[in-house]
Amino acid sequence: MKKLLSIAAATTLLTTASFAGANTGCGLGNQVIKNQDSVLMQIFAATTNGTSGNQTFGITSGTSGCAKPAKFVSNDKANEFVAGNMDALALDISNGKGESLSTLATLLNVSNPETFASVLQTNFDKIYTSSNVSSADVIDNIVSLG
Amino acid sequence: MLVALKKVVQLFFGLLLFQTSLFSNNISSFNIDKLSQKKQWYRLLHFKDGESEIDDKRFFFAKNGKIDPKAELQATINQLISDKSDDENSTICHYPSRSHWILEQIPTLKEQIKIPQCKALNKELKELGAKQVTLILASAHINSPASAFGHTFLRIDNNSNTPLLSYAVNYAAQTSEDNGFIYAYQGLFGGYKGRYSIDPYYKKLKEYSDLEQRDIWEYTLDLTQEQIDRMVLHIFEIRHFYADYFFLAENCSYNLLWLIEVATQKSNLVNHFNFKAIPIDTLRAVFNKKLIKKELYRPSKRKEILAISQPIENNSIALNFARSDEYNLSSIEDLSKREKIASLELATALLKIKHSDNKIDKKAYLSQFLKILRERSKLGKKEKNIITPPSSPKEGHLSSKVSFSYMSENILKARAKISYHDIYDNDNGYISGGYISFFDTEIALQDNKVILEEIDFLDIKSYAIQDAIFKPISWQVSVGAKRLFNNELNSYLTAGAGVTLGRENFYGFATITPSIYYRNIEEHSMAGNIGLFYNPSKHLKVGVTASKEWFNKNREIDKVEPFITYSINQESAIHLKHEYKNLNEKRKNDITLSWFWYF
Repeated sequence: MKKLLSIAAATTLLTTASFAGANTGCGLGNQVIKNQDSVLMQIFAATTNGTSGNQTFGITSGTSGCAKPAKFVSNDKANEFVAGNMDALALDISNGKGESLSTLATLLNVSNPETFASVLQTNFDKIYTSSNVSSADVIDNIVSLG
Repeated sequence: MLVALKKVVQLFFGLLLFQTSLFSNNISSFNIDKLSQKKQWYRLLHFKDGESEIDDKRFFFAKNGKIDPKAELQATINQLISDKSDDENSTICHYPSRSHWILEQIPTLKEQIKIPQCKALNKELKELGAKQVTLILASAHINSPASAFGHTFLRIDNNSNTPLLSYAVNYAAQTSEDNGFIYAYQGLFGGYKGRYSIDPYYKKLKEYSDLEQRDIWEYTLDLTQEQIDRMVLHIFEIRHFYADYFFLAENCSYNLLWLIEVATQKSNLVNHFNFKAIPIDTLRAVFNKKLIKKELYRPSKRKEILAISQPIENNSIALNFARSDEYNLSSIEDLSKREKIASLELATALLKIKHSDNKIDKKAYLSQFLKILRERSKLGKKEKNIITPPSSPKEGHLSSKVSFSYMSENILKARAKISYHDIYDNDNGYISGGYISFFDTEIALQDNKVILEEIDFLDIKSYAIQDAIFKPISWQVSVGAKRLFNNELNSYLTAGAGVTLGRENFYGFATITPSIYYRNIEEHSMAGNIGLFYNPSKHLKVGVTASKEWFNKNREIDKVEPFITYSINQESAIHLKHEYKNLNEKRKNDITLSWFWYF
């Protein structure tokens, strides 16, 4: 049994402009926060083999609630992926490798993913300019490196 | 991607638009009768044991559609003919799975119905671009009993190289209940609505792998494109409706089997599961039908963290840095590059856990997060972490067990439990140290008398191994009835905690467990327990446990129990146990030889 408080709600929001910035689902630090279940609750859940969830049908059609990058507007899938994986991507870029990074390379149709990873790692500072950086900024900053 | 879309659209509409020379205004009742008895029609309705498992009335066009597949088929056909609307709620767009099947079976029907465009549906099908289906097992997590049985869901892949872009199809009970009693009661008796949902796979990974630190197993299914398309259409129909959710049987794992059956049109899967469906058993059923073509292991965050920290396991400077709150970079200045990388990567991982546990606010988290990553980005790449996969969940024993034993002094015993995994079972395919027994009952035959020896309603032992980074507490809860002094049956409740050290296939534990007993009067006790288990292969497990239990009224019980279990295969094992007991200076030695049968 888990109850997850998901702060990131980018895909359900419709307007775009007002949501870029640090306190939205488009920036860094929007991890899922764990809800501490009581031991009793855990034991009951254990014996009942239960899972629970909310009804979602999260197939998005490219209209993410986050602001779109200025330099790279045509790739909705990439925008959405970056918005949904901000922290994981930052981690991968700093390590110079990882699944989020290789997925982004595929989405951006990068010809040499190895070089792409190295360039991004070396330029970490230029991509993540501050903790307020939004997903649109990240994409713009990455594209500027190219 | 576009090709896949075209295929789906073709599959869906091509048939519909194809003009046939045959034309019939009335489909004969003979045909309806024959069609409605087809197994695939039953599958499309989730029809089993005389009724549909779908409880949502809107799923049926016929009044008695839940129990009468023929009436439902006739009513669906009538609805298809009479529905002239052209929007997302038109019959074909809302019930694409059965509509497609009916039009496949009765091509002439296309003459009589209006084919809507289903724009939204086609847009979603395009976005999904299904080319491959993968069965995902989030395995149990060592110290979280809530996940003890594991969880399964499906993943729809467009490109097998980018699973992070795939979608997860998950069946779950819809609830936000906090009260454990209500949750268990409602769950056991179908008080919640079960529904399918679709979410990006990366979201599921954040939940299971990152947050709950569970291993993920990915099993690519061996399906043709036609079968995959059929499954997807069925998901898009069934998503609109609910079925009462039963934790034990009609649960997350079980309901995925319907999707697989609908896709293949032949595999007989759901019939294997009548009173309980445990993820590991459903996985094995799918495996036995030869529907799995590839297995992939995705280690939990915890395993990744242990691999990251390997170079600095005994380096206190590095570990102190990673565990600190201020991450003073100058403290690791003198470490080697390899050690620095490990320190920084471990620090990031622990910081993320701190954040998801809500122990640090977002602002502080972000500034530290970027500071550490910035430092890490200056150090280049490192060689890949090597994480050896544990034994595959599909290799383990089945989860129900009956054992027959011969005990010294000519006592015959039989024991049965609904599930799941106990200390005497080989840990291969299971999480080592995580033991749950559910409705475990033992009867004995002695001097032509049958007596109830013991009944454990529930027995959880979580021996969670502590390591350099994680220090989980081991714990135990048991409730049931067993024989004590005077050989009388006492109901009991035991709960306690302790520590486990070692590695996955060789570990020892020490716990302290207070108990309450009740027969005519209440008694209580305090016990100290130790044990050592060694599980070198999928065939062999040996162990020894010892305990001393002090009761009020100055009575005590000492116990020492060495055992050996030899597993012949997934279905059976031979078990030999020596039991030394000292009940208040009454010493007893028993040897028991058992045969375990798993099913």
